[in-house]
Amino acid sequence: MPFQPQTMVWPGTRAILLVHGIGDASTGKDNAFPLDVLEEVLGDDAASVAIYRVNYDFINDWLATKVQFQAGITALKTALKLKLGTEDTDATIAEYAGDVLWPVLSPDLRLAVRDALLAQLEQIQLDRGESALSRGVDPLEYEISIVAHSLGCFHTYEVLTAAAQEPSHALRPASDLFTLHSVILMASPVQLIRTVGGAIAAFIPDKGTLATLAQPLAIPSETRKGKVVPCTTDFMSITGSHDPVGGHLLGKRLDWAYMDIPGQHSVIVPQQALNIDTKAGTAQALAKAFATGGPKVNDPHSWSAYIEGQAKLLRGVLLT
Amino acid sequence: MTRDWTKRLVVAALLAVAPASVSAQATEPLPDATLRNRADSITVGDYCGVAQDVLSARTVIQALAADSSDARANAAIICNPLLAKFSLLALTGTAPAPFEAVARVHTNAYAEVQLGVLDAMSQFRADVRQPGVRDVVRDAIGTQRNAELVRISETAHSLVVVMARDRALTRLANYERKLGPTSARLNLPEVLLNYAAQRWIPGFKATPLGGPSPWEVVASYAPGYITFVDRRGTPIPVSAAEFGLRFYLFGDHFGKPGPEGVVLPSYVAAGVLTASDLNGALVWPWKGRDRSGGYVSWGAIKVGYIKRDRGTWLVSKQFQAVPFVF
Repeated sequence: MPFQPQTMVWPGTRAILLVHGIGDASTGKDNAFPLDVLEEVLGDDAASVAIYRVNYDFINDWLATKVQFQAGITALKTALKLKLGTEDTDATIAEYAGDVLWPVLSPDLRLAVRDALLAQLEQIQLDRGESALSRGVDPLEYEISIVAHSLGCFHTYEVLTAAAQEPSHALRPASDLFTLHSVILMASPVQLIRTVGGAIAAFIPDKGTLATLAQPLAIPSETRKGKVVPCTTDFMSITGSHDPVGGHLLGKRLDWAYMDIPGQHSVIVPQQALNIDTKAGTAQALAKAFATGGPKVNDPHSWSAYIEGQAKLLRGVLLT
Repeated sequence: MTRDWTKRLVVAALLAVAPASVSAQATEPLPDATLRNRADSITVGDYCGVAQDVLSARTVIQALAADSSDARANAAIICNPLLAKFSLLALTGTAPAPFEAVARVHTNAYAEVQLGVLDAMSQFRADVRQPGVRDVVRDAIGTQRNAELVRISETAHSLVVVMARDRALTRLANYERKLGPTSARLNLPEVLLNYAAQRWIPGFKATPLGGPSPWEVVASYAPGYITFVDRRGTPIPVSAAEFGLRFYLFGDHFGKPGPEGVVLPSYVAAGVLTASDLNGALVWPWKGRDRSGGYVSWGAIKVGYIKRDRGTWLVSKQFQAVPFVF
């Protein structure tokens, strides 16, 4: 079916867009969005929040059947292994963490995902206007937030940068007054992609269209009449102390993989309770996280666990 | 003779039926009716009136500070008397222009001047509705008039957002045409050639605002051609190598699934064709005395012409016998 952005009348004054990533807890299939967990976190306010979901798995499926990317993905994973180390377990971790890297190899794929996200954001903007005006309220008093996970953080970062800088998308923060209440990136691989993608830059087509590689990382902003206006005043990064996709391994921060954008609010979630104390344990937990089916007992990359574990923080950010 | 033609028609029909699982390209319109109706009830003159009210307030000019000159300039563009009777919807070219306006402007195409007015409206909104100025405007012109400003300016901007959304959806539909279920599958050499073409040959590259290129390089081994070697119409398999270009047909009219796709396919292609003089389903094209000619395809249906000893005209259907190989 052709992509149609989700549209709805907002029940209240807030909307949240969920952007999925990778792994079974975040595969983008309808049941994989952690809606129940999010609604539980929002409590009584959940009924008054419009929750949108954008699923771009169908675009991944096009590419998977149209072409064979294995050679490029292998090159990316090799570059990642060199960063991690030479142990067998490093290779295993690279194998799973590397799955977030492959969109950089295909301009068609990443630009198609960008267009799907742009169309969804534009529809949300339209729904905001219609919902507010139908009640005689100023649409600018209604608020939009984005909660993204894993690879969804990369696509969100790319689309917000494009939206902030390109007039024809009509989503610039100053010229179009499209500012977001908050942007929450969970287990963001943006820096990991920047580092590993940089190591094989010669093989990456159209780097100029990749904000993650082409420019220094920054909160997406527009400069209008000399004034820099960010797309949000609350750009938050949440990652786990044992989540390699989010730039941590066994409680230690990997500077080359951890997204640390100037101005971001950073939260590192302690994950000692997951009982992962070896690289082998990390590899095993990631293998479960990226596989399909079955319970994820100690998945350091679980989207649901991030939302559940940061309930109080999320309520504060999303609802105030 | 009749039986020969029947055989040929059966072969052609089998070739013609496209996979049933492909998805349709046409998109259902999104529910923009309320916005369109409202936009059709507001005129450019209405926008001009409220803009003049806003800029007549001294406190607003003070709050705008350096932006006040831009706001005045944009208001002057909005207050174009030739467009005063146009509805906001008519500005986008998707609704009829008023009779009086047509009499003066002669056209309701989405002309530069109309685009300029919509752009001025967006700029004016960005100035007078920015944080820090918004509250001043409301206090200066009163709640009632401010509600009018909000309704008019947000409606105009929503039309701009609708156009942006539709452009994104059109690009996405074009990506689906080129990469999705009705597209041709690529083998490994084609993946590499198209990767190279997208990097180094102008016209093959996808662009953020233009979407995908309609062009694709073809370099494939096609074991599924059929020719007819005698007057009885007995079909004989022929293997061939194809080198050429494929052109994707973007737009709602093409890319139909099923039998309709025979008439309105996703792509056309043309190029050179080489086949051995030996017939067979898995014959190396350069084995024996090879012959070259040309081929064209309309969607999945391909017709080739090679001056061979046995069978000059070849027909086939686009498919991959072994995924990513041929």
